Amino acid sequence: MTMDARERQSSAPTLCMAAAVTALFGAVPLFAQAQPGSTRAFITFNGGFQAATSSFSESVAFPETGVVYQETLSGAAAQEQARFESDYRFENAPLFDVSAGVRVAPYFALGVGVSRFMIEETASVSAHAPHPFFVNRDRFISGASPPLARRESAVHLQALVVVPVSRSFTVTGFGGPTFFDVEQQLVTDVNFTHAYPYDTATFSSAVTASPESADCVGFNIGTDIAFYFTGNVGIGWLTRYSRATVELPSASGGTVDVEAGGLHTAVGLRLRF
Amino acid sequence: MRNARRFAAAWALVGFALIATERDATSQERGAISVAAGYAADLDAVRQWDATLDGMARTGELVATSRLNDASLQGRTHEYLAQYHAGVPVHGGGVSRQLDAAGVTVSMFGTLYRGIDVDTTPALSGSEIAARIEELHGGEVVAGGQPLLTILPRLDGSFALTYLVATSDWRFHFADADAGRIVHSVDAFRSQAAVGAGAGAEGDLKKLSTARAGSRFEARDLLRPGEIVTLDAQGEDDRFSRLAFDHSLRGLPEGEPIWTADDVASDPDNNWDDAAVVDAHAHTGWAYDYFFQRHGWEGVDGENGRMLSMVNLDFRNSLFLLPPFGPEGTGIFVYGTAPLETGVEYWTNLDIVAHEMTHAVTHFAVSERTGSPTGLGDEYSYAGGTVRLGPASFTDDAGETHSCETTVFVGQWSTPDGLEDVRFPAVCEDGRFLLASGQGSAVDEGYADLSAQAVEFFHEDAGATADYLVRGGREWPVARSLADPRSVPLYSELPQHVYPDTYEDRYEFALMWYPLEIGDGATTSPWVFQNGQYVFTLEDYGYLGAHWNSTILSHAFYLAVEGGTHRSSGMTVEGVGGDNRAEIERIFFRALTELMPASASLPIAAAVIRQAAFDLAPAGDAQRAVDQALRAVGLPPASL
Repeated sequence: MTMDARERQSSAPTLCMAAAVTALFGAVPLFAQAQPGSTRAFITFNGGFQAATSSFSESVAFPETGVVYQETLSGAAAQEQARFESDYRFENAPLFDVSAGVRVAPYFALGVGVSRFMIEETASVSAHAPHPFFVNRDRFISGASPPLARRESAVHLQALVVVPVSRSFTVTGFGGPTFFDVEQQLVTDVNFTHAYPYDTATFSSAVTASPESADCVGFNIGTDIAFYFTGNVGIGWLTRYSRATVELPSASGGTVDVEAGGLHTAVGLRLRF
Repeated sequence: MRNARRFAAAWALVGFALIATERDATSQERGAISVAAGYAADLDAVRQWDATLDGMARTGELVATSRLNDASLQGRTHEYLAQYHAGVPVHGGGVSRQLDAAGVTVSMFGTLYRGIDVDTTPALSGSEIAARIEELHGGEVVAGGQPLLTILPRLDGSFALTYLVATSDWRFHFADADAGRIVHSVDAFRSQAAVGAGAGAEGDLKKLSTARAGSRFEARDLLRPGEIVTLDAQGEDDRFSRLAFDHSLRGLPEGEPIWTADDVASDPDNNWDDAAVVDAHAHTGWAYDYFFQRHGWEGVDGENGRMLSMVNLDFRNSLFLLPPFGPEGTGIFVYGTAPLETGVEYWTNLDIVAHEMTHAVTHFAVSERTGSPTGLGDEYSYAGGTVRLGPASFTDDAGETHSCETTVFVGQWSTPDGLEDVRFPAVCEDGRFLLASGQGSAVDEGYADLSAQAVEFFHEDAGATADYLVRGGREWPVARSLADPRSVPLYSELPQHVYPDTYEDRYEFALMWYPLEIGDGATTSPWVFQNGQYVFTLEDYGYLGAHWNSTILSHAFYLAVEGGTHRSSGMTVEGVGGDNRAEIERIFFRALTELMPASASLPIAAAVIRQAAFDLAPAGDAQRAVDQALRAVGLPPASL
């Protein structure tokens, strides 16, 4: 377990819930700008991408084990701690979103959205491999992991303020809590090669495991701008920012904090009834 | 006849090839010639010697025992021509010849014996000799009772047909092939120090390369290209005896192990708490690293053969037991652990371990090339100045005057019935004592010390203390100083007698004959001489002064690196500096592993080292530094 992970472990859920509550009520507009239409319910189908770069890093230390030395980082910790750092960074990823809601007041509606995105990205890995013969003589190695799968599924509960700018043009603001389900493949060890006299080592590969998953509650806030060609069908542009922090099991034995969500931007079909 | 003429002509031409210094002219008819012809020699002389060697090779007087490519100079080769007489090897006789890419001789170093007139048909068989030795001496003959027929050069310039026999008392004996009496004996081990104590474990954390074996870990290093195994004697003398001698007594093939898992040092959780095991095992690996990485020398035998050490024996010393001893017949390192009132004394610190490993490297490098079973030779001969005339009489510390013709030393001799008092008469020539020291052994010890320091510098980053001091025991922490040999006494109780820093000040011993009932060879007396004058008396006979005189050579190494003004000679040496230490190390190592003949006095070793310096750094700073350093310690180019 890293110190960072350990320190964040106790405070993360509290922050997460506080952010969600703030978003739920703070996102409600103070007043409406136009008369609401006769819409009772709506459904939106969006395709887009998660635009903001997301990143996190993990530091894993293997305590000395006292066993036979092997050419893995965990095996190299025979008599001395071995450690690696892996940096995960995710650029734009395709996003699918479906939302629906019902009007509960002239300008207000309640809704739920479901979004999901998947991506595979490599992580950059750097490691300190203990020397088999000498203490305090780590060899520094670095390389990239194979593509690591990341999947985020989110259920966004939304309180919406619907502002009909004209009969065919609607602007909606919304916010609320988001329930995230995050799956992330993590680097669990590092393979390396070396040869006598072992003063240098070469990164061979990063060892990965099946994706780890965790749930967390966060928040979402955003806008939707819709243009209706007919009374019931239109197109729209969704912009949503959601955020939560999940704790995934780490190879260190502790957890690693992973930021979920981000800035979603998508366009798609708008149906209202 | 033609070869004899060539021999004579070559002798006449090479001014620095010297025979029988300080002896009468008649001895020049037969005896030893030191051959030292290298970069500084007259070209005609080199060619003449070359022709002589080729002629002797054609007639079978010289037999090539090895021909190896130069490890550092492309195209160069080194061959060793061992001397034979009628198909029987002449102990110590042979020449190391360096050839360039065109096959032209570059240098030659060694010793040749003239006038060999020995009938090579032995009256006794090898097994009869073995039985005779055991009857006379009490030890067991090893190596399956197959003594090696060898011609042994004698002190008086004559030759004896002998069997070379290894016995379980850690000795190589040369036994007369006709009468079975011991003519000459040499140690079958190289010790760290003749006297003194060890250094305790310092409590520093070291990693050990070990191997899992079931539920335990064994001190077997499988990570280095050459396997290192540390055995644990567990304080049991019987275990030591079995591991040290049974292989050779049973005549097993070299390399066939007799050690078992029960003999290997082990630990249940790989967190080792036996300081002797930790230090011996780790330091053996460190020394291995030095030889491999600095010199490309693989293991101690140059072929990554398994390296076996044994720890936890109650004695205050360390040693390398030469082949054919050891649990695989390939030698073994033995490190003592001694409980003292002041604490436990471990003989496993880095410079001790590196010292012993260098002995092994020296042994294998020389024996494999030259075919000499005993490695670097230690014969008492006039060749190279290892024997010279002393006074006709002297008065010892006790006030007793010893005249060479009448004095007798009473010592003890091992027999099947135990130790018995025997009388050793002095070896006299023209009424004068004959003085000698073990200069081949001194070269061996000097190399062991200088390499140990080189290993420490190599591993400074790992915490090694590199200070040109050879560690001793808890009660005597400094055994020798390469930087200032004279600052360290030979014995704490004799502070006025210090290690020498010049060849002139080397220690010698009056030679004495074995009693007739034992043999007719010579050994060293306890009477110690310096500059031809008596200085003190040891408690026992047989010591060659190897460790004492080793500082002459190791101090030259120090000066070549660090420079400075020589304390005794006042000569100034411009060293290459610590940053260039590796250059000097390579020169010394090349001299040892590629050029050194089987029999080397200090002057021969100096000539060989000079040649190595010329080979690797012609007209360079390193060559200059080596030359100045050797001159400063009294080994100028013409010292042969």
